[in-house]
Amino acid sequence: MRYVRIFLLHTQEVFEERSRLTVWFLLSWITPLVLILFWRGAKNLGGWTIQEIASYYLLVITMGVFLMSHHEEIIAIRDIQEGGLTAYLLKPFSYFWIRFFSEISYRFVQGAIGFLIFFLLIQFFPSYFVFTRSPLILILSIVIILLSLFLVFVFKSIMGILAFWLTDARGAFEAMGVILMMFAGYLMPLAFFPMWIQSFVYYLPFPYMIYFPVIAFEGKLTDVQLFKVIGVEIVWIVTFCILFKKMWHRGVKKYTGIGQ
Amino acid sequence: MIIKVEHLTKYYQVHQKEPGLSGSLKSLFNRKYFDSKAVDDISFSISEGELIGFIGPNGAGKTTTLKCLSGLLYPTSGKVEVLGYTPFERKHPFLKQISLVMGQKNQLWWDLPAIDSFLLNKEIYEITDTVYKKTLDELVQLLEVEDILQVQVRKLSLGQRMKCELIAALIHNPKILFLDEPTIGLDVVMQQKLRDFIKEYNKRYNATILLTSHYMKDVEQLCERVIIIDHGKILYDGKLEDIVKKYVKNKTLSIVFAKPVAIEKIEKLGKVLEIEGPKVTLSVPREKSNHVASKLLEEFSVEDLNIEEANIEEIIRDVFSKHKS
Repeated sequence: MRYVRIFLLHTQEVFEERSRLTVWFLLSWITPLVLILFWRGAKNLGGWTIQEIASYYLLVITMGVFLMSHHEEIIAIRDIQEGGLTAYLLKPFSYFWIRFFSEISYRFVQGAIGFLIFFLLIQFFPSYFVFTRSPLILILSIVIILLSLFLVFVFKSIMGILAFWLTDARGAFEAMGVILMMFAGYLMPLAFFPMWIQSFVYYLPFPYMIYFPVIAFEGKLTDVQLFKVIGVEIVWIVTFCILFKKMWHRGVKKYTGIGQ
Repeated sequence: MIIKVEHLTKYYQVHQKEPGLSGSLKSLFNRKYFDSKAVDDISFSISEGELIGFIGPNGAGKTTTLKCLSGLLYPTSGKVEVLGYTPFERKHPFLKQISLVMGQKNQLWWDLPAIDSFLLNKEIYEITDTVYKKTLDELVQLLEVEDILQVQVRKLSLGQRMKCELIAALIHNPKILFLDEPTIGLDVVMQQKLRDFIKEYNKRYNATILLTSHYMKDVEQLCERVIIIDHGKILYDGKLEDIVKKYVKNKTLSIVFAKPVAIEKIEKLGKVLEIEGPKVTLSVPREKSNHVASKLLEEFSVEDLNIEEANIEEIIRDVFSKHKS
């Protein structure tokens, strides 16, 4: 109950920061819409129909706003560099979970709006939306999506606490942005990449942040592949959690050593 | 003893850079570090319910000491024990019993009314509904903030915000309260209100309070005991009134004579500081001041006589400058 109440309080904050909410939401729509237009003119679609591609990008948008946290800058700049962390360190509650609830409220609000738009679009352009109708695949997809949400959260938290060591973490964030653009599936379905790239990219955590949740929901994965995705996600989550914990302990000691 | 500090030392490693671009290049390859001694081997202890003032100039080590006591800083050496805990471990039962308020930092949600931040703290500190309501009512009444609880924090004045910060910091009824410059930036009226509140809070809940301040008035009005710290060392630890006895050997007598007097006669009684018409200012050893005063009244025709205690702020400034030289 305590966690639910903390979550709800944070959700109120989301509604207060309307401008941030709107900007992020609108921004995330622009690129995919351009890309759909681009692919309409393309001849070779690598075995995908134009409907599948269009719904891929539309799902990237709707799921992207739900899955992709943006709290790394808050951790790095507001909390570590400007000293906001001080107040959290003296609270009898883990900083990781405070950030989690604060970020997750954003994700749920944005995800809800995304879902609403998705639902409206289906009414107008039913043929442009391909997604699974199988209950099993749907359930497994939801599991994958929720795991992705946590995976992105932990990954971005690690990026944020890099600021314990970097004076200016923005360079690292920009590099991360480019990598995500390429390998999380924002630019195009990873299935379009040459095989040799695909074969190693699937070992990285990035495709599990957007790409796999989207194609799972589209119904492009078999049951076995779905379970495999869940397995890899769990491995990455555990790895990142351990990494976060180690970095956090060292970083906090450094932070408190300097005395903000 | 609720707080025990033994030989606490905190050094910061600071790197030095020569000016200009060449200095920057040099420091890229060969960085020179030196230790800045923020707190240098201090010891003291504090019992429950005390209200103690830490005074010292900027960079004296006041805030560093408070941070070591609250668990924000990892000491370089020495032992710190607060409520039986080692602060730096920041165990949750320890954190639930303390609070640190820094005048320049805030914990309230900027975009929401203060009441929502209080609710968040209620959950974080696991306070039951009844206790929360009781504490909140008392604090709101003491600080007179009934009408601003529902207002967005960004719309509040600095003073109102500070009051709300205090409520957020006290909602879990901490046994120990660390206040770092609580009155900074506030106007005189608001400063006085906060002082009254701190005093009342200390009395009502028997809370142990340590405060640092630049304003001597804060310390004079609130604290029986003060710790004067400079360059990381404790210069004085004791009752405020005893500082005067320790550091001020003389008292100043200002006398207005009814008739002109022979200065030579007065000079026998003490050191003449100033003569201004019928008014003479005389400095005498403090233990003789009463005797001299009565002698003056007996032997001369005196219109007015004042025995002045030196200004506490001046004394402390004097202590610091003596320490430097």
